Amino acid sequence: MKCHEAKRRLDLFMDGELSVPDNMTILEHLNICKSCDAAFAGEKALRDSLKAQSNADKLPEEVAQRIFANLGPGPTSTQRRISRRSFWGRVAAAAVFLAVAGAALFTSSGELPSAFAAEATTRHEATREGFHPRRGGLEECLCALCHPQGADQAADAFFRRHVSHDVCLHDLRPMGYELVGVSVWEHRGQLVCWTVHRNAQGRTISHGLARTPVALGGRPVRISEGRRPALLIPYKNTGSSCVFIFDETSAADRFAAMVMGK
Amino acid sequence: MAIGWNNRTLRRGYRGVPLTEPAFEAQVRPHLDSLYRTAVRLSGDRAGADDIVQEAVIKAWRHYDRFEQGTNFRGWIFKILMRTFLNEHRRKRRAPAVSDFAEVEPEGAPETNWLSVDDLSRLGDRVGDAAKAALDKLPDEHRMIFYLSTYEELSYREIAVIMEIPIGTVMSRLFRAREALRHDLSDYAREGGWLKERQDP
Repeated sequence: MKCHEAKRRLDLFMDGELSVPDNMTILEHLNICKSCDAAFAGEKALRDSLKAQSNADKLPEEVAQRIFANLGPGPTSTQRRISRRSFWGRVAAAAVFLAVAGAALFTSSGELPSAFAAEATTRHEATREGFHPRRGGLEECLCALCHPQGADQAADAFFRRHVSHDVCLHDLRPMGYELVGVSVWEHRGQLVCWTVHRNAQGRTISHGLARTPVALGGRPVRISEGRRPALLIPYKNTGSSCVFIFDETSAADRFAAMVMGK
Repeated sequence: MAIGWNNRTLRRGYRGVPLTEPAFEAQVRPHLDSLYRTAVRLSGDRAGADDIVQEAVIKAWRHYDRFEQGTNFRGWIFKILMRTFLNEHRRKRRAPAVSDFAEVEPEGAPETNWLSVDDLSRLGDRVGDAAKAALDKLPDEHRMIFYLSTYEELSYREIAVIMEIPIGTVMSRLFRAREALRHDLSDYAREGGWLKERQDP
């Protein structure tokens, strides 16, 4: 790599927007080129300096209290509108679902949910303990030792570095689970964003998002056969799917009840 | 959770998150300082920043049912803050937004002026004021992107969603903003005698 190419990509490199191979190429170049390394160090110092000067500002507590004391009318009126519409919305959705479900169980991707779940289960068993110590590359340990500044930011930065598509942001803290690791792996030519959560009892829930539409009808699909219980959930309306793998059926049931709003 | 659930879930609040003021406050509070800092940088004064944050939070509360719980709340509320600032700012100055910096930049832009750690060390505390002066010269939309990327460390994709522009536009505007900052800082340092001239190998 030539210096002008390295410097042209330096901003992307520092913003975490390069692919893994491009990152490696830049790193290799910085190791051998004093001029580019000095530019990198200077730019990093500039950003650090700007951030340090700016991050001292905090919203005064009395202003925050004033804001929340004067929120005004909330979203109630919109809720009522949705409520009136929702009956006919459900009727229409049911009609569409019945028509489509009669024609095919799964989408034209040809993928069976059980195949994706089986692959994810294998991944769950390989990663359920987390990634400590940090392995680098396509895996990142998010424990408090490896990332004392916070797992959320580290996970966000990790996925930002490695994938360009949507990353699911499932937060399992309400169920008592904490983020312990993230990785990406390839499934049918698509990168899966893989997130591992564990609770205080050592139980694990892993989940990943793939750009592969495996479930139809906008509802979760439960896979009960196999080594671990699995739940497949369509991700918004993007055609992507999220697969959840659980250690035990009770956790899967709790989670399914929660996401179904029961 | 980033799943398009039905309206029943929406009304109840996804995964038990009710559409109540305490739930909303709990979700907003962790982002208040970030919102405030961004508003201070954009508006240039703290009193104005208070008003922008207040207006943005009230708008967010009014439309809280439209937020899909589990998706990127930070991105959602920053989008509201940005719109609030732009609406207010444009109303005050009664001027249209600048389209794209690339369109007004002269041909043959000078080579990047990379500052070294030593240069910055010699500049010391002057960096903040000089950077602010350089950034203030940029169009609002370019400064916003610079702030969101540099200070809030949002990804280009997140910024594209917040600003409702293509990711390529985010990249070009950010690039121009950073080039302008480096150029102005170098000029400032050179004029003040703090820049050590050097030659690249």
